[in-house]
Amino acid sequence: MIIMPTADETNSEDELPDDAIVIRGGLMSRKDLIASVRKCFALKGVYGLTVWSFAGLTAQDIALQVKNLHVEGLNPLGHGQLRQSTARTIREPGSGGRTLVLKKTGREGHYTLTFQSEPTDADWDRLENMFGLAEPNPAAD
Amino acid sequence: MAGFTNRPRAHVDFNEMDERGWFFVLPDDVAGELSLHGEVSLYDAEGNLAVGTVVELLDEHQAMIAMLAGSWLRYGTQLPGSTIEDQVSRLRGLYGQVPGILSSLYQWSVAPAGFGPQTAPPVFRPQAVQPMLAGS
Repeated sequence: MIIMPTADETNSEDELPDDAIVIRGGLMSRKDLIASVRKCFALKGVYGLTVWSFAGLTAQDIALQVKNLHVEGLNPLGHGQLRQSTARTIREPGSGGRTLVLKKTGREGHYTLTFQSEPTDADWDRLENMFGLAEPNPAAD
Repeated sequence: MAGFTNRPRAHVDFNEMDERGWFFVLPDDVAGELSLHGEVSLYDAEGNLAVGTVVELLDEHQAMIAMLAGSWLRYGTQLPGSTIEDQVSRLRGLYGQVPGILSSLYQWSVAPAGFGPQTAPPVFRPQAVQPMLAGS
């Protein structure tokens, strides 16, 4: 049985302050991202991607916190690298008026970066530019 | 024991595992035939690997796959050991409890180019593991 998100999980108010750092594991390969938003849409009806954040923590500390919150051997951030952005950067509207929203979704520190509709190439380019270069991930397994 | 080439494979994004370590997959993500409780090789576009088992077969050929805890193998991992034999021995120690994973790793090293990571910069490519596996 699939555990569907509750209304709270998909519609929670964004609680992140603008200066909160937001991270994702790995290099953010577009192939992975495209597949992920399609799966998110099939499962939850929204085009979204998982990101992680704890207000006030550095990217490195967020990764370690996420690892500590998961069962040993099931770390969603085991990647050798991570990439970081901020809530403010993600919320800034694009040139075409497209906006991205960060929704708190379930687990502590888990947010879904949601697109208004299926992401376009321009959306992917924009997302790529929102995140910094890959950097070592201290939570790598 | 199923190897990587004859075990079903599923493209996943490890960021997206749920709190149970489960992944939702669509038909387009899967190569091969999934069977309930069957083993699946999990991989992402960056070359990270893991092993999972099918825990639910859903409508429209969708499925839920549970990653086996500790089966993760990060792309570029360099295992300790001074000789090829040492490193293979350590691999067996690490993954011997997961049926099929060692043969998966062997097979991964000779997988067609289309399955190789396309986006990782050269600095992240496995300099030690891949030759070791290919030569063992």
